[in-house]
Amino acid sequence: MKILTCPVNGPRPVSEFAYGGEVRPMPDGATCTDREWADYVFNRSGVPGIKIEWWYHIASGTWFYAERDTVADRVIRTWLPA
Amino acid sequence: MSSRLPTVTGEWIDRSRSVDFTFDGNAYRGFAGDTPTSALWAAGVHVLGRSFKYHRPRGVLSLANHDVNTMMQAGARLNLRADVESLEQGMALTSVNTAGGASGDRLRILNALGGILPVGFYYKAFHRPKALFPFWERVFRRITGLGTLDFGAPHIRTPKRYDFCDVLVVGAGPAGLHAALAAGRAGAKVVLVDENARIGGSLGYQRGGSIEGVEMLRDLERDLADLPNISVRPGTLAAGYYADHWIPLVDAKRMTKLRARAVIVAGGAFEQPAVFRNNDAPGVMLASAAQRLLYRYAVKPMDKTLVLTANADGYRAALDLMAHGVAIAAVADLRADGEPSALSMRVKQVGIPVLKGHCVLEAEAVGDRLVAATVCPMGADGKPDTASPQKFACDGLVMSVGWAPAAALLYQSGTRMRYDTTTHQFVPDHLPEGMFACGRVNGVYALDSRCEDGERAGTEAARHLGFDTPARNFSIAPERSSPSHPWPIVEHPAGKNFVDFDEDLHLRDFHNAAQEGFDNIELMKRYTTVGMGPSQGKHSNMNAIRVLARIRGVSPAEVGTTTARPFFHPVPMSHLAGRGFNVHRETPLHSRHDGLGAVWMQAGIWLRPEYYALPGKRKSDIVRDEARAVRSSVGIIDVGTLGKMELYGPDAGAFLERVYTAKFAGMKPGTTRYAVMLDESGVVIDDGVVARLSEQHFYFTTTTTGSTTVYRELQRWNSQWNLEVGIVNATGAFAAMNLAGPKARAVLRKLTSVDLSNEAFPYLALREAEVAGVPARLMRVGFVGELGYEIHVPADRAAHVWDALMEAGQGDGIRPFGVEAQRLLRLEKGHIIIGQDTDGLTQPDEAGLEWAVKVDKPFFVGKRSVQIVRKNGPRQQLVGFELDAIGASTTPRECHLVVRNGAIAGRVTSIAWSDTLGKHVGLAFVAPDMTELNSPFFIRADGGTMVQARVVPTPFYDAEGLRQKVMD
Amino acid sequence: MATARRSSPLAHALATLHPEWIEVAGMPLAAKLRDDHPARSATLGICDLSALPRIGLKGPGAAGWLSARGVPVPDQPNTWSALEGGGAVARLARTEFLVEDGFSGGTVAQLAPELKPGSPGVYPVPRQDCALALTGSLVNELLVQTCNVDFIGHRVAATLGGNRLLAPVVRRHLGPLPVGNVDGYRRGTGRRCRRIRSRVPGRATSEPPMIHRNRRGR
Repeated sequence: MKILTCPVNGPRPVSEFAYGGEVRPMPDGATCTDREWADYVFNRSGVPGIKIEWWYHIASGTWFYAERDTVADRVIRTWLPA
Repeated sequence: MSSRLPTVTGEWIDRSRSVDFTFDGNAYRGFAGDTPTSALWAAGVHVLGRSFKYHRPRGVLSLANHDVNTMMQAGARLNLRADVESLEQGMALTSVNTAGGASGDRLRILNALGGILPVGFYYKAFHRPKALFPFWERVFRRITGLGTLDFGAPHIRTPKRYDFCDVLVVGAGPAGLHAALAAGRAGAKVVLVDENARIGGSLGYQRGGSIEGVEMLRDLERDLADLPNISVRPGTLAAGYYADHWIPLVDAKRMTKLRARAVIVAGGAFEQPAVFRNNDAPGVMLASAAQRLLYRYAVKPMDKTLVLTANADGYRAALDLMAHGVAIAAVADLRADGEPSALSMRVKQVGIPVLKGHCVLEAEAVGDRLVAATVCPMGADGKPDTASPQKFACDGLVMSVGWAPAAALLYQSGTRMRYDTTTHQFVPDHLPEGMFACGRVNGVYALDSRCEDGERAGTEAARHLGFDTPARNFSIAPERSSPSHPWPIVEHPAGKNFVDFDEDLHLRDFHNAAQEGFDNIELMKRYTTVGMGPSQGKHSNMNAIRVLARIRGVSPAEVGTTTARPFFHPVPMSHLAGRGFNVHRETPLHSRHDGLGAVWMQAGIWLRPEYYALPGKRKSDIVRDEARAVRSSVGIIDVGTLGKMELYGPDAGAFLERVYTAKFAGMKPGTTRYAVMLDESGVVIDDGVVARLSEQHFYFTTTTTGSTTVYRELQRWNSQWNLEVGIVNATGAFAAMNLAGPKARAVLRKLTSVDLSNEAFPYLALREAEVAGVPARLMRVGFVGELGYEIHVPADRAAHVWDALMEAGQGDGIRPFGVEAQRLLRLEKGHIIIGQDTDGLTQPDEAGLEWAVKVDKPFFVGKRSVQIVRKNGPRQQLVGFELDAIGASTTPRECHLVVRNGAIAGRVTSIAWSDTLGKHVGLAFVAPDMTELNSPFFIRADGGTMVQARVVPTPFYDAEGLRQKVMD
Repeated sequence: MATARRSSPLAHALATLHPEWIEVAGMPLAAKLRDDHPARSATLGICDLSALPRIGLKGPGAAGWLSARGVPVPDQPNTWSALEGGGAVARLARTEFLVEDGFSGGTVAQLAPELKPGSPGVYPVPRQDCALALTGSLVNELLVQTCNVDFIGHRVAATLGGNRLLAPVVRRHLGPLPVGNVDGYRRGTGRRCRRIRSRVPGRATSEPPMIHRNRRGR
């Protein structure tokens, strides 16, 4: 199985992680249109390419970002949120 | 008459240990180290199985688990490959897919019907008349099965394990051995695996009449033994390749999931059969199979043989066979120019006639054994010249016409292969990082070259991993002649020239498939089923590609290959199952519940008592009694499975207000408040109780099944908001019990000094105090609608507190109650269960939770969605209902539909019989215009019976909540 | 009211093995089992050390809080520092710590009263661990059948999740154990769970790991 490198715990089998979806900015719920809000809630980009994703190391409770090429399924780098 | 030879150098059998076994009821004797096939062949048994479709007699073809001519069953063990299975004392083997055993199979009549059973016949026949289809289905199931399942076979546990290494070398033939030594000498931790019972590969059996190979093997084995960092594992299969060099290694006992840092594939190549009429007659076999019979098992494969070849390997085989007393009738070489190396001279010197440019037109079998083969010249166009045939009497025919790389692991790792026109096989073109290939799988055939290629791969792998070993210039000489013939296929008007022996496909089937339009490799595979049999195309895919290429007039490169998927050979279910770690969680009070007769149920990953069994009493009565005890006296329940979170910091209140729908920042210490959590789409996902312990300290609960997800998401939110808070998941650190009933206060008073009066400790308050000498958090909550205290204590002192409460409550008849009683009691109060009375689309308004949603807060998760949805109003509404007294047979259950005018108008989410109220009550979703109090609606119960219900207000019991709030 | 006795999560299971109990930090600890044999724990042994005192904390201020109280703080996640009396301070993540005393340590008793909500950036984490010591020459074989992390050659604590048991695993030398009122202690491998009569000097030859199955199930 795939190895994913947690920024805190190093390379671990992917079964130790949970995927959290693509990192997407939240529109301002107070000012955006209904359509913009619904698009944020329900729609996801299926375009293959390099994406920044949320990943969670379950055992240590660490959330981090992974930059991943979804075509080659190759993780370019992982880093902690600021 | 035994074909066992006197001792052969390097043989695998132990002649001092004989092994008795039976096959199809007949008794035989072999040696330890034999396989069933070798022992049977030695005993003169040549029909070892029947083919799948035509039930033709079959014997040895590859002797390498590249075909299933010899598939057998031993008791409950199915899918035995007799060619490679270890022969054990007392084995009782039976053939599969026969009616009456391999030699007397009554279904052999199907062979005569071959004409009306062309490829894909089952797609077109037997559909009409439709009524007869079930009959045909039963017939086919009976005659196409491969073995009989024993449903009483025991569940076997195996010690599945992980392992780690630097370099994995797959295949311990000459290339693999040199690769392992090169990597090992460079300092890498090497694991060397080979699926055969012993290492050595072709060094052991492709001898060409000399022992040089055997001596080289002994030297290499000694070298391996000198390096403790090389782990040699024979009898171990590398079953597949998974991401990041993750390889399952399968041996007789278990599966090892190995993580390597580099992988060298030295798996060799599958020898390929020639295609000619009756090439499946017992006695016709691959040259390497004959050599394995000779050198591993000391079995003489035949008395007199024809050798059909197109490479040096066939000549070596001829010399091997001659050296052990097999007469060679002739060597038929497909190549017009014959063999360029010195081997052809050696063959001629011993008096073997060599026919260049000749092919085998057909084999002739009498009484299930080969008796003769007809040879004729082969034209340059690959067609036989039938004008001048020559017939040779023989009881064996060895074929050595080509090889196909055992590249499955390479394909699975993402290696790009290309078709090489000098060796007529696919070879690796682009290897992914950390993958290496050497030897035959890499298109290298000469022995010296294979050794050098192995050393190259081992060195490259070690250097890739950073081991300090000097780079070298390796130069692998190109092959003098191609080891594979591009067209070892001879057409015949009467057919039965087999391409895929497992699936009984002969040459005509491919032409038929192409005629029907299935002329793409993927379609051809699926229409003909070539390569879909138990050997997964090891002996058939390459010829199928050649055939399709010729049909379409393109090169094999353009035809391409289908995808090779794990596993390379079948893996027993017991190995995949391993031990089956099934984790469940127990509260600290688990043993107490066991002692009280708890009947366990799963709540997510937790075990909770459903109820406490009593001898001679039915579950429904017990649950009713438990509930009655709570309403009339006092009960106690373990609620330790609830999620429990500590929240600290100056922004704790603000954080809670963002993740829950209600307001919390202004709560006073010592109070609690109900909390509802939504997701971003506004759907209700969790609920709980928030307690404030101090200015910067909250303690809140979640549902049992939600705690992990809630904790995870809260951490994610704060990684974006960066509020000054600390979130701690204390679910396992605290035990929790709920003491409920009119006598609850009296019981608790005995164990704590805190003032429990209504004024000092009102409903919804929290107090920190010692209970039975243990620091505890006490909360007065609604829960089951009686006076009640939820008591949270550290897990390691839970049992002590439980015991103290049980003792203190003895005089009042304290009764432990379980989840069933809890559900009933809470339903009587109309409390909803997230996930039962709500689903994946339920908005808070629909579940009667609008009072908990404070849209005047600037932000909470799901706020905007709730506002948008509110513009259209709810699609459904959760209401309380009651049924008039009816017979038990028509009581509706959860998920029964609410039906109005023949259309679905909702569904029942919870329903139960309430002794206290003397009626059935429940919760249901109904259309928004059906919510008027006292209005009737219909529920469709089992069997379509329509049951009438009436909308009533909730709570059903103690509507004012006096019992839980103000009771003294 | 008498101080309540703590009980190990394994108390019920251990009771079936006929232990001799001693008390450590208010919790009964099985010092000897009826079928104890030194050869077994030298080959593969498991011992319940849940009784040892523990404290947990996390947050941006946690490292500083510990240092200010003289506790040696490891500076990398998944590493540990030794404490006097045989205990250890483990850094579980960037900002989370587990402090555990050995049998003769008093660090936890000293820290616990000071760890209250209110210190900025310091958040108490209740530790209610089931703590197991694994000893013996076959320890790695056991771990390789349960955990997908390569422990050989690793001398660190590692937070891992194997088969959904989430456990901080500390591979370290377990120091001398004066066990209750027994008159000696032994240093070394695989002798943890027998009644120790005489002191045997010598180096530890392997470093048995300790596994905490954190009941918090984080």
